[in-house]
Amino acid sequence: MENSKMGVIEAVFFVLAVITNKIILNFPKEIVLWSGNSAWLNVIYISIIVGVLAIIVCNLFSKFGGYDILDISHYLGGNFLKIALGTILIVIPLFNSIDLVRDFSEDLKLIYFNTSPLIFISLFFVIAAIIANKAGFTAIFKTCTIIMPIVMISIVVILFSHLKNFEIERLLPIFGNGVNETFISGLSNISVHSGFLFLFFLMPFLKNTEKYKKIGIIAWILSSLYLLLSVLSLLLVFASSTVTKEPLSLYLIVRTIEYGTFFQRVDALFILLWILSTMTYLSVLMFMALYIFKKIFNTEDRKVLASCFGMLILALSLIPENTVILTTIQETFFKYYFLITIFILCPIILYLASRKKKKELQNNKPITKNIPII
Amino acid sequence: MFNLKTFLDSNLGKLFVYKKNKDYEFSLPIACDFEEDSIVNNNVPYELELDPSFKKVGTKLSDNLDYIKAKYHILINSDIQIKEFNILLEDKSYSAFIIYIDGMVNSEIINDFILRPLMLRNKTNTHDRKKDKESKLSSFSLEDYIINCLIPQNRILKKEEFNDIILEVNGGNCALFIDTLGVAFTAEVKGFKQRSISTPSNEVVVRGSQEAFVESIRTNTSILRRVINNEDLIIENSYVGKFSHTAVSICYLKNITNNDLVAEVQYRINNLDIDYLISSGQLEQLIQDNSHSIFPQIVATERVDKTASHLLEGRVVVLVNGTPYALVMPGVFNDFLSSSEDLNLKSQYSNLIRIIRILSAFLSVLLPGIYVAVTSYHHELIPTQLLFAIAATRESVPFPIIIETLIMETAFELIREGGLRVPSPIGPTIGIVGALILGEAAVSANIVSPILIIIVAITALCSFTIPDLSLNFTFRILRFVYIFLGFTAGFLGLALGLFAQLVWLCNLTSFGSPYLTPYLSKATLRTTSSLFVAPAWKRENKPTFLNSKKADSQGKISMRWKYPKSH
Repeated sequence: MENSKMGVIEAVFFVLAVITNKIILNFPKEIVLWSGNSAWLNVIYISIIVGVLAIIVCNLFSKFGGYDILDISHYLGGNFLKIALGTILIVIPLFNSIDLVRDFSEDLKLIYFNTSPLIFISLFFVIAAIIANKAGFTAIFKTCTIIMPIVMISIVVILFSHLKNFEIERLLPIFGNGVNETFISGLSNISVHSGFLFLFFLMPFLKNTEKYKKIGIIAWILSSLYLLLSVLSLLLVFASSTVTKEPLSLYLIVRTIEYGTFFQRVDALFILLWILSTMTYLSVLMFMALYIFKKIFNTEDRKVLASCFGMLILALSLIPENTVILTTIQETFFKYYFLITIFILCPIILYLASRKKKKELQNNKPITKNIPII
Repeated sequence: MFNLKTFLDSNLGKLFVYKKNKDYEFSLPIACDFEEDSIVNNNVPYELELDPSFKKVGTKLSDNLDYIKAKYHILINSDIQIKEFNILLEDKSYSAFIIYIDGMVNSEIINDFILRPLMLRNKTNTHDRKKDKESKLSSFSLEDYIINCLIPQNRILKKEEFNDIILEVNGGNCALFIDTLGVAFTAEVKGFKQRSISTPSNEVVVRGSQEAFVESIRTNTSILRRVINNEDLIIENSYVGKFSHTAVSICYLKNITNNDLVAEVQYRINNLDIDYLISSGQLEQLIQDNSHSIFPQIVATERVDKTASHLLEGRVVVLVNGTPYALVMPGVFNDFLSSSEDLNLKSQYSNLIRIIRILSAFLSVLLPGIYVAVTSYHHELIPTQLLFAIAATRESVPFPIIIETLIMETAFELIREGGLRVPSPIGPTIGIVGALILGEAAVSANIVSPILIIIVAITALCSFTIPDLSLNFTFRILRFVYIFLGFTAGFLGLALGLFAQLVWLCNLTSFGSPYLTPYLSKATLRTTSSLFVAPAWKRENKPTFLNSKKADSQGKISMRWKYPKSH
C-alpha cells in the first residue's frame, strides 16, 4: 500500500489541504490586517504572481519526471546542495506544524475548553498526525481526498449563508491601507501560498507524471478562488477593524449564521469539520517533514520517526509564552523565509538544473546522477 | 456409671485426631507428565499397536486389517464397522473386508451394491472369462475386474495410501480391502442425515430467493451450480486441519475471476497449520488481510443468490463443510452495507434504502457520542427551548452524563445478548424486561433522563438496519469508544476518533482491494457493487477493483427488444 501513488484528484486535494487550513486559520485575517479593505485586491495580485510561478515551476519540473526538488538539487550540486536545501526546506513544514498546533489549540481553548490545559488540546492533534503517519502515505492522501471536499463545501456553505448580509460599500476605500500595502509590501502575503512547497515534492508520488502541470494549475485556481472568496466574504460582512480582532477569521462568520429560529448556533458543527481538516493538514505537514528528513539522512523507514516528530512538534509548540510571539516570528521572519525559499530559491535551483541538463544533452554527455532524459 | 476418662478419651480423641479427607477429588495431570508415546497407546491395555511405517495398502489382508483396527481404535470405537467376507470369483475365493462408519452410510447401498454382488454367486462372478473373446486380448486384472464388472457403483476409486482411504471413510464412504491386492477400493455410499435446504434465518429479504446454505458442503456446491448453471464454475476441494480434515471448497468462475485472486485464496487456505476447523468463522479470521482490524474484510452470507451474484462479479467464494455460510472475498466496506435485495428492487427504491442505511450506520456509531459531547461541551448547538427541556429532565438524575449513557447502553447490550441466548418460549419475557428497564422504570427511578432513552432507542433502531452481523459488532464497539471520546473532549475527541477511523479504513485492504472502494476510486457507477445501485439495464460493468478477466457483465444495450436498431 505504501507504494501506491496519487491520481490527479488526490494530488489536488493533497495540495489544497494546506491552503484550505490557512483560510480556516488566520490568513484572511492577516491579509486584511495588512492591506485593509483592499485585501481582496491583494489576494488577486498575489494569486496572479503565484500562478505565473506555478506554470514556470511546472514547466521546469516536466523535464525531470518522477523526481523531487531534493533529487534535482543532488543532480545539480551533489550531496552538499541536497542536504543544505533539505535542511532549509524542512523548517517550513516544521514551523507550520508548530504554528498550527499552538494556534488552533489556543483558539479551541478560547472557544470551548477554557479550563483545560493547552497540552491536553494539542495532544489530540499530535496523536492524530502520528496515527496517520504511522499508517503511511496512502492513508494520508486518501484521508485528504475524503475530508477536504467536505471542508471546502462547508466553506462555500458558510459564504452562501451570509449572502444576505453582504454590503458592497464595505469594500471602500478600494485601496484600503494604501497602494504600497496592497501591491508592494503586500507581496509578502504570497507566503499564504506556501502550500506550493508540496508541488516540489509531488512528482515521485504521482501515478502519471505528465499530469503534474494540470495538478499544479487546478490547485492554484482552487486555492486562489477559495482565498479570494473567504477574504471577500469577511470584508463584505464585517468592517476590516472587526475582522482583525477575532481569533479565527471564519469562525467570526460562522458564529453569526442562523438557519431559521431553531438552529441559531451551528458553529460547533463547522468546528468539528475544521478540527478534522486541521488534523489532516498536520498529518500532511508531518509527512512532508519526515519525507525530507528521510531524504537528507537516508533513513530506511520514516514511519518509526513519526512519534518522535510528533512529540517534537508538541514540545516546540508549547515553548512560546503566547501566540503573539509565534505570530510575530511568523510576520517578521518566516513570512520572508517562505517567500525566499519556495518562490525564489527552489525555482532558481530548478532553472539551473534544467540548464545543466540541456547543456549535457547538447554536448552529448551522459546524464549524471540518474536523471532521465525526457 | 459415667466414666470421665472414657468420655474424654473418646470425644477429645475425635476432636483432635487427623482425619483424611474422603471427598472425591479429580485433577488432570499436566501435559508434561506424559511422554508422547504413552498418550498414543502404550499405557492403555485396549489400544492396538500401530505400525507408523505402514502407509500404503499391503498385499496381505491381515496386515491391512490390523492396521485399520489399530487406526480406528476398533476395541473402543462403537460405530466403526468392519465386515469380513469372501469374494467368490469363478472357482476361487478371496478374503476381503469392508470398513464404514455406522450412521454415515446408507446400509441399503452397501448391502445391495457392494456386498451382494461380491458375496453371492451370480452370472457375473461365475462367468467363465476364458471363453470370452476379450480374454484373448488382455491379461486378467482382478482390480479392474472388480471395478468394471463386480461393483455396480457410480463412484468407485482405487486408493493406495491409507491416509486417503481414511479420509474417504471419515467422509461417509466405505473402503473395500481384498487379499492379494495392494490397493483398496472406496465407494460412494454416504447416507447420513442432514438438514434440508431452508429459508435464510439471518438475512431475510422480501423479494429474492428463499434458499439458504446448509451444513453439507456438497449440497451447498450443488445449489451454487444450479443457480450459476455454467461449466466455467470451478469448485476446487481442499482440506484444512490436521485432525479434522475439514473439507473446504474454493469456488470461482474460470473465465471471469482474476487468476491472482484465486491463487492468493488458495495460497492462504493451503498454508494453515491448525489442528481443526469447525466453522467458516474460524477460517475467515485465519485468512483475512489484517488480523487486528475490527472491520470485517470477508463477506459471510447464508444466501445463495448473494453468493452467486458475487461469483458472477469475479469474486472467490469459499465453502466450509459444516457451516451454512459462504465466505466471499474480497469484501469491501460497501458490501457490508448492501443487501442482496438491493439488486432485486428498482434502483430508486434500493437507493432510498441505501441512503437510509448509510445514515443509520453513522447514527448507530456516533449518536450517543454526539449526545455526550453536545451536552457536555457544545450546549450552544442545541436550540434554547430543547436545551431547557434536556436540562429539566436531567435535573433529577444524580449521575454525570457519561455514567448515565453507559448504564443505558450497557443495559441495551445486555437485553440484546439475553434475547439471543434465551430459549424461544421465554423470548418475549426479555422484551418485557427490556421495556421496563429501558423505559418507564429507569426514568421513574431517576437513573436516566427520558431524552437519553430516545437516543438509545434511535441508536438501537439504526444498528438493526446494518445488514451484516460483523459490521454491527464493529459499530457496537466503536459506539463505546466515541462515547468516551465525546466525554473527554467533545467534538475534538469525536474528530480524533473519526480521523483515526478514517485513516485505518483508508489503509485497510481485502485480498488486494482497497477497503473503501468504490468511495475512493474511479469506480464506475454501472456495476452491481457501486455506491448507489444502478438500474438493471445499466449494470454493464463488473467492479473495477476486482480486475476481472471479463470487464463487462452485459451488453451496452441490454434491452434489445426496445432498441433493436442500436445493434
